Amino acid sequence: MEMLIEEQLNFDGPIVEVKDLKVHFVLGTGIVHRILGGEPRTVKAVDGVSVSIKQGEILGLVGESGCGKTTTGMALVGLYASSSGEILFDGNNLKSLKGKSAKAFRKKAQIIFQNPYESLNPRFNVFNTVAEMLAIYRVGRANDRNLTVARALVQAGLRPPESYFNKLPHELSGGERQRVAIARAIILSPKFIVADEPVSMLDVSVRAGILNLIRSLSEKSNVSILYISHDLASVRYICNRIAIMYLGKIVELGDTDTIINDRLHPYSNALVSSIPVADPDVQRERVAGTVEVPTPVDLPPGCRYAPRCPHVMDECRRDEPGLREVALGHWVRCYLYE
Amino acid sequence: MALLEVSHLSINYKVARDTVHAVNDVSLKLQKGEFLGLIGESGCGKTTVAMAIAKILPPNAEVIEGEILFKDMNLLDLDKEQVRKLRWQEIAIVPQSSMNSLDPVYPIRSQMVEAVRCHTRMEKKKIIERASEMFNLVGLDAERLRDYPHQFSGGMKQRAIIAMSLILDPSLIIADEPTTGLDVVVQDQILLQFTRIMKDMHKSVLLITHDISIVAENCDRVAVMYGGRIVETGTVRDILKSPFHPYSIGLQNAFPNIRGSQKVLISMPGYPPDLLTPIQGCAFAGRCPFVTDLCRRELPPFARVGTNHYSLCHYTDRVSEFRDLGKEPETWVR
Amino acid sequence: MKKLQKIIVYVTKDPLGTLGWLVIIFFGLTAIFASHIVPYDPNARNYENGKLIRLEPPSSEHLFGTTYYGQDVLSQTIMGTQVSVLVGLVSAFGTTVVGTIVGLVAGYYGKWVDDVLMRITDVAYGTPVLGCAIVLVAVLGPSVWNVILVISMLLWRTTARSIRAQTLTLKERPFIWAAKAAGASPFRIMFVHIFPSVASLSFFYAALGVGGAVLSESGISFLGLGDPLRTSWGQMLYFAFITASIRRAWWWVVAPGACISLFVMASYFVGRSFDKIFNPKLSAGW
Repeated sequence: MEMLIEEQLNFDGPIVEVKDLKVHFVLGTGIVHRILGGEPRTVKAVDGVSVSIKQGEILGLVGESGCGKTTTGMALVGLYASSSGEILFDGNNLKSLKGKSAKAFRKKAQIIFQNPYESLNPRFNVFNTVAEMLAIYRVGRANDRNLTVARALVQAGLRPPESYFNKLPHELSGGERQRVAIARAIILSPKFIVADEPVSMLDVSVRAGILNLIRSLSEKSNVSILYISHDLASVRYICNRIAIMYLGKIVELGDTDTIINDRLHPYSNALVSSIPVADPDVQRERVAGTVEVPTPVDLPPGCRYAPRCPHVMDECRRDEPGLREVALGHWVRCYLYE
Repeated sequence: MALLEVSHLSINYKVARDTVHAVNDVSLKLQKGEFLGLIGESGCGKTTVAMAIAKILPPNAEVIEGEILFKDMNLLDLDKEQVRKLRWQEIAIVPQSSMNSLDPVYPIRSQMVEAVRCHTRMEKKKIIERASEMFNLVGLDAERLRDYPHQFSGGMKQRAIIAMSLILDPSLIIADEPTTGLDVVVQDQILLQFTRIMKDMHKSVLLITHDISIVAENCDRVAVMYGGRIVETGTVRDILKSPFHPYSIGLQNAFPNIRGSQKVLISMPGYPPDLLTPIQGCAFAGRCPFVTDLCRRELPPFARVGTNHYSLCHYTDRVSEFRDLGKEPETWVR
Repeated sequence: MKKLQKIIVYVTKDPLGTLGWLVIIFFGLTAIFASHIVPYDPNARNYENGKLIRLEPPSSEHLFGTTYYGQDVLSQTIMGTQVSVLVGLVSAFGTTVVGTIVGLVAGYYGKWVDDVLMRITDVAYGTPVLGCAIVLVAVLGPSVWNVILVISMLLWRTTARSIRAQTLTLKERPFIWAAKAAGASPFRIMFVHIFPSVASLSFFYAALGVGGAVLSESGISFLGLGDPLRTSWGQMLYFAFITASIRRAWWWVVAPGACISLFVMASYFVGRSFDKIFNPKLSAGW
């Protein structure tokens, strides 16, 4: 097993490869329903996602609440179990990782959460929080750990690092807490980080700093990042490629420039055109389409966006379109482009 | 005559043994039919100002000085009975996260009736009639008045709250972060509808938010708040195209844009002041890249920099220099 | 040391908590030095002029009066502290440790582990302490340790339920997910990550447990099932009862009764003071 990991470390392919990932949550069913042979109702949070993330790239995963982006992120770091499909990390299937190889995976794949007020243990001081992985994997001895923790804090922009060691979360601002969370994630030099809406709960004047930090982390240390957000503007700022999710499926995938300027899917259009612009001279063109986002339970057949789509056709309501590559690296799931 | 005129308002909160100087010498004017945006980050005092106008300040808040003139009445002088009549009939507030303030065990209908009955003796039938009208206005099916809050999505709840605030035809609506927590598409639709309704009904709106783009699209005038003070006021065009105050200049760098060329995002070092000790001098001195001793010593004047455009700064004459330097990341490094 | 100072300062801000601690410390010291401070041998019958000093009200020689058998009530009360403190501390320790572990494990693992553990807890809830005591003493004989056994076997149930509820909420918090992502083992997550946040609850129940244990022990001894070789407050009441002296000799009843009440009240106040000690604004990391 150890040998296999060594080999795969020289693996040149994408750091993460997702093949038809499905994560379904079963809702409780009544006994009568079960006896009558009914299928349990499931929330199909992620319903067939395939994407690969290259080494050193920042992939944006965009969508509104309920689209499955957080669930996808959690599945990619092994916190949620997948119901079907494959997740390959550095060439190894996540499901087959046990013992030593599972530990190796944890060291290499980390996550940053959205809520900086909840993602740090309120009873741990900054040192213990950041040194957690060092403690778990027994890395280094007491003195070495001070240095390693200090280095991680500096990388996360907290200077001087020693002044933060004994601080407790409630003594820190939101931005500082998020930086501590970042230091915690990067301490063992991971190759892949899932950043789940890392700035949405921070003050506006603080967001820029965290976004710049995430970008530089990727550039300097060649870390791949899955940046999950509903804010396309920040996604545009740091991501190389963008994937747009709707109700558990990716509906468009491509380079940042392509998605922002040459987007194809009607939903991508609706998203981009809904974003307010801080310029009184710009007249925004709004796209038609109302109706609130449904939840991924009891979905009707056909394309999931059909109920809201201004260009809906008959075939849209019959079968779901597949994700097709319409130009190099640009994929769309829509009958308009088949 | 302005519909609402706040003059030199200062409010403190008593928390345990400390005093938080949440609002310091805030003055603003809202004309009839105008949309005024109050923008600032968490802790800048904007919600406190809103609560003061709506007369829903918590018991530990104390108005130290100032006046709030609404249609020539000083709201601070009113007794309980007068306030009760005022609320909802003249001034309505849509508080932050109000979609979470609906009682889950009662249908929307009864909550509306109950709310309205607190302020006026309208007949139940009439209230429901008005509520149905308002529901239709915001794009909700009047039949859904019988539903319970959990049957509504976040966006629908927010619309219901907006409808509720309009039932008694108030002249002033205060909306505190009306779309926080909502998805961007829903946010857009609600704001569009909200603005349209308010303009059609000639209502005056005080819109409080941290999102400058919402203000840019929906407001006529803007007041920027920082550290309990108003640091700049002017039209939307003034503040966005020709900002004078270094904080407003800095804010421009903080918002990534979806259109146009990529710009460099620059974050302002440090964080907003804690309002426990009254600040001598300028509230922004701790973070301002152009700070001088004068700034730290003396409170800046509310200088007039254009027609109805004011900035709380000692150095409004150096604004072109500030704007140029403000674009460079090095300026903002500590 | 500085932390200890800070803790003492913080706790003493709460007058009831301070009072509770002082009372408990007082009883603790009394228990430790009992044999040295008793004015009389608690079991010895006292005579005056050849006559047994039976049921004498409080006097200058016998500050708390005498029992039916001529024994000094004050000495018995002091001696009785030992049993109470012993039973209280040991049982509370046992119930807290068991209850906390059961709560953490049930709350963290959920599913069948939770089901099994909670059903066992239900059985513990359904079993009456005194009834169980009667059976156990009948089988194993009366002794302090059997009393401790009965209490420990049953009274962990409240702690378990409460800790489980806290654990259920905590395990969904992002910082626990972060610990899982870091690769922490379930053991580490339960005892290093979750436990500090439930510790104040554990200690609260421990303190209450001390009071509860003393009450239970008193009840068991009052029924005559207590250790005949040791004086305890409950046992004093037992003898007062069986000699039909309860109405006649108020001093014999008030002394142990007041001690039981004080002890239980004090343990409750101490329990409440733990929240201040475990407040993260005071402590600095584990």
